[in-house]
Amino acid sequence: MTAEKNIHLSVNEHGLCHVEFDVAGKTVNLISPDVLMELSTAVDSIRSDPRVKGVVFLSRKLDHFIGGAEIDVRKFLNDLDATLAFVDQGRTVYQRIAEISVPTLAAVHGACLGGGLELALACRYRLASDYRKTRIGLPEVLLGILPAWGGTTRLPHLIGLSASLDLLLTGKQLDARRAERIGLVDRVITSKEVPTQADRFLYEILSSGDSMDRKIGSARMRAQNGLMTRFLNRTALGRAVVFQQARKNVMKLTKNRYPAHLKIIEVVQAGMAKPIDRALHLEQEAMNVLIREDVTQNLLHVFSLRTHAGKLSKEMKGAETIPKIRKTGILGAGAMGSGIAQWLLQHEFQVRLRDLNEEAIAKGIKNINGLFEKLVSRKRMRPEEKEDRMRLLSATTGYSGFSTCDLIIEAVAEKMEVKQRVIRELQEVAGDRAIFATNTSALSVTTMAEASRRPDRVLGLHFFNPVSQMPLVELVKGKQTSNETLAAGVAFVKQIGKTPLIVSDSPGFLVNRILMAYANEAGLLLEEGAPVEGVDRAMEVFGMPMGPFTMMDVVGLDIAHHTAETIRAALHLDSEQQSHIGDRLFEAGRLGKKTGRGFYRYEGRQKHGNPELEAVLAAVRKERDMSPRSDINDQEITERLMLIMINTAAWCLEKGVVEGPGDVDLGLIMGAGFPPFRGGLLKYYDKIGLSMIKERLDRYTGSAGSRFSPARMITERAQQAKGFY
Amino acid sequence: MAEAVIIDGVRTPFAKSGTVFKDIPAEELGRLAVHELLEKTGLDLNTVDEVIIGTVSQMVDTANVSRIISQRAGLPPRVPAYTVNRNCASGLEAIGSAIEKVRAGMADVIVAAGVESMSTIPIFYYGKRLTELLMETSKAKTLVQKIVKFASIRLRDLKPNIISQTDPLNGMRMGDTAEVLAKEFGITREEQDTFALMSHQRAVAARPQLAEEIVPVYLPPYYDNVAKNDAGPRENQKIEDLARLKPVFDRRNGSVTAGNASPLTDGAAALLIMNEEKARAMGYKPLGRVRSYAYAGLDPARMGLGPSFAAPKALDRAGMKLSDIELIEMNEAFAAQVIANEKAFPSKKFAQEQLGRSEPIGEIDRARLNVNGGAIALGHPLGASGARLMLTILYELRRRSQSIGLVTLCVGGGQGAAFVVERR
Repeated sequence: MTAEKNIHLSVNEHGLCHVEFDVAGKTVNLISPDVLMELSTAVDSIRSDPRVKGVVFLSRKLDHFIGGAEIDVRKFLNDLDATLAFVDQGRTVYQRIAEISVPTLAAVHGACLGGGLELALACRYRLASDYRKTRIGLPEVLLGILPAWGGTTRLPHLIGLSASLDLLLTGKQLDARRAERIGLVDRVITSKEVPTQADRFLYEILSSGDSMDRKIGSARMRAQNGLMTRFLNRTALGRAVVFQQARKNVMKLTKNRYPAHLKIIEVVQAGMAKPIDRALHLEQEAMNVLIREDVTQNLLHVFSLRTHAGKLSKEMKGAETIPKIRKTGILGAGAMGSGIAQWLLQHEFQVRLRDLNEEAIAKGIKNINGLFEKLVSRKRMRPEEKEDRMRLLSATTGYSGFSTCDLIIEAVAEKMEVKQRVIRELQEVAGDRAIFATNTSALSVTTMAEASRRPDRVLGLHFFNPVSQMPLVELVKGKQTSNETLAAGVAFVKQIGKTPLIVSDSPGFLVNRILMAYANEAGLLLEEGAPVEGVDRAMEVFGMPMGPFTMMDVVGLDIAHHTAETIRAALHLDSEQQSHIGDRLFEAGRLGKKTGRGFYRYEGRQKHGNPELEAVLAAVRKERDMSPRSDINDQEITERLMLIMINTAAWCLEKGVVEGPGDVDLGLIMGAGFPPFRGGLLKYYDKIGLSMIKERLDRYTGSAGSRFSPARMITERAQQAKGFY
Repeated sequence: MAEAVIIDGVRTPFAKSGTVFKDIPAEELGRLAVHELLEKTGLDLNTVDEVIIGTVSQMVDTANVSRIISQRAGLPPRVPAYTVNRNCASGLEAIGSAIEKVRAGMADVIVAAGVESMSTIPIFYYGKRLTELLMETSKAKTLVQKIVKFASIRLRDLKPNIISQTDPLNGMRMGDTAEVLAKEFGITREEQDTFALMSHQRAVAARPQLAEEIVPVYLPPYYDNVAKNDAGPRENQKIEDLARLKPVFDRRNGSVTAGNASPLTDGAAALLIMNEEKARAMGYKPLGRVRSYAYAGLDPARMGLGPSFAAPKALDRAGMKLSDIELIEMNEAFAAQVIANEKAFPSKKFAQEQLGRSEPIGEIDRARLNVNGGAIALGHPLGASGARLMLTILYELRRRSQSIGLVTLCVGGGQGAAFVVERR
């Protein structure tokens, strides 16, 4: 056992035992093998201590109960036997907790996830605080595994089948009230004096004989009281319906690419028919299978990338005064500005919104309100909460109210002069107290910062559209951006629940730079003779959420065109190797979905081929003096699209746009929808091997053009038989 | 003694009840004004000591509306808040209370505001018998008792009563008091209509100036529209159209019409009041201060004469004469009522008989009176009007580089309010 204690055990004069988690040197409680050992010892001593009349599991951390098992992905995957032993041991300890003969209680305040909730499930009772950060859930499925410390087995017994599958298969997190509503939590407590409230609860249990326990039992039953729920949960036929429906939904949702979902259903179904000790064993068996799946290993890799996202380098950690952000200002109420505003309001930041006239502001506010209305209609927010969030918003056509902002994000027109003018105007009126962030998708942050008296407090915060759905934010470090500013930016991005990716100031940064190469290649394929639908289908088969042409139609060909122009101009890209079809459609006012025509033709929700496309293509081909090929197959489509992304990513790595291959993979998964089950672009192709990649690149350099000429990094690493990682 | 100064202020547009603000309750109108005040002044919210808000029609479900407004405007929970009511002078009462607190050294930074949503004032209420029976039903112990009680409710108990709009002191509607003054001072229908026309013309011409004190309101629930200006002033108001209207209160012999009276209105106005030294230390340039103020009581049936009773008291306290006053904002509850004051102010007889003063107050110069129009055009959201007049006069004094002004209102129930303000 380690010298430092992680678990503190005490017994008071009434026989109440407190087991307090306080993992040494961390702000959160994660269960490592060491902590588990300590817990095991603690459970032994509780079980053998005749003074103990009741046990409370608590956390000493400020806003964190137990976040689950500590997962060091590399170690985890390097020694699968040790990992499986750890899983097995955890379940054994939890089972011993479940067998404690005196009443046991988990007093949840703060995050209670995965192994944390499984511990709570091993207790006889659960309390949870109404604190904002109290989130309860089992996110294992998102990592391609299942709750294997008894959670998969115990949950259906407590809250019934249908509610259990919902939690297990979505990984969703509940607040205390919702958890109480489904019977997962027995009582909601306030966030002050949690231990005292827990003690009082146990005293009540101990002093009331059986009556209190019975009351709680019937309350749990009442939580699944609806006629339909009772039918589904308690009759054989009902259960069969639930399982069948769950399987159908899973197949639809995962296209059979994520094996954990089906495995969880299987374990729940088989487990319900077995006594608990044998049911628990099914969890281990399932884990043993899942952990060896490629997809699981890829998802764990992505998980580790996300955990490390925005990790500050040494010199940034030295930054002592990281400014705290409370009030934000947003310049520009267009799609991006209002999208960002809504997201910040949702996360309870005050927002001061500016645009040039009231009509533009009204449009922005309407958009914000609409996004909130959607949350309300999907029951993800109560109407009163929506009103509260909307009240954090105020607007102006001037700059009043901006002097008290801590962070100002600009989302005005993508023109350097406009952005620089806004910086100057803002400084005149509002001073330079705030950190200034630009939401530019391609312009130079360093050049923009030249307009500021405090270029050290300027950075890029590149949100993706639609803001509420895209989890990535690129943090752009300009030449003069200070470490404090960057650190504050990272902290802010995490605070609003987005994944930060630090990139250097380079045209298109990371994601748009690679996406632009990808879209360009798709355009060239089309010009050479590949069908629109064929290219899109090939990418969907690969696992992208949508093909490149659908993507461009959704983004808007105007926006795609302007971004591409900026990048092409900044990098002096060879125009021979640039696709023209997108530009021609843009010039013809075919901007994609918003105008009803682009690469496709749209009728309501329906998507059809655009009959005008052939003529535009013919013109492009004439210009290029080429005739269409008919021999482009799916393999060539996929290879060329992937290879161009890999080559561009290598270029980005050489130029230091991001630090390592993990950043590329994280950026493309979170910012471009690259399929997580592949583990990331570079991770996936590392398995194929760089010498193979180089060989294919060389081949396409000959047949398709010099843009495939392998980046230096690829040539070097291929020679050394190394991968990107 | 500490001195109090008014730093800045802002208001919502004013809109006739039942129109654009009909879905915005008073607490939300107030919140919009206070929120924007805090933004406009760039105030550090932690410095606020108190919030005082005047309103006339307090709703049962939003008791102490000031607290609701201040919390929803983002002020920290530790900032206390209370609501004041002096009928039509409630907005001024909030300002007066704030000034007294600062002068007494009990507070340094106060948000004072006035708010009224006349759209949301209930018109009906159920009779006492129904309320009693429902109470008894809910108190009844057994189901049978409950049913028995409930069954004793008769159809006639469900007939709603109309909430009386009259002054309980004399059973008169406000318009009736204006008719009294019209007759007492011999004010013609033409005089009243001409005054009303002037109010509209001045308010229309002053739109750009008034815009400086207004925060646009984006209109829920769909946010398709924005209210940028006061809705009341009519560009093409014609005297003939005013003359065609029928008298409302005295249908046969009366002269008070909907055209020469202020309409029912929704709106809110907020001002920031500070200890002068603190304001200077924080780098604020105040708009001005209140040099003196006074309230006076009079016969409720002649409540419109309130300014004639309150103004001389306030002027005495300021050590000033009416001739020292460069601008006057007199609330236009009714044209007849303003004109009655115009006649009473210079009358020696009125001064001697009714005010017990040997000399008249003085002549009111219309060129200095309500130069941006008044409540007949802009509207009169009861609790907000006092704060609006204060805001308007301070902005106008600044625009004209003048220094002394008088804000005065008549108050339902028979009172008058007068504030002498100065810019330094």
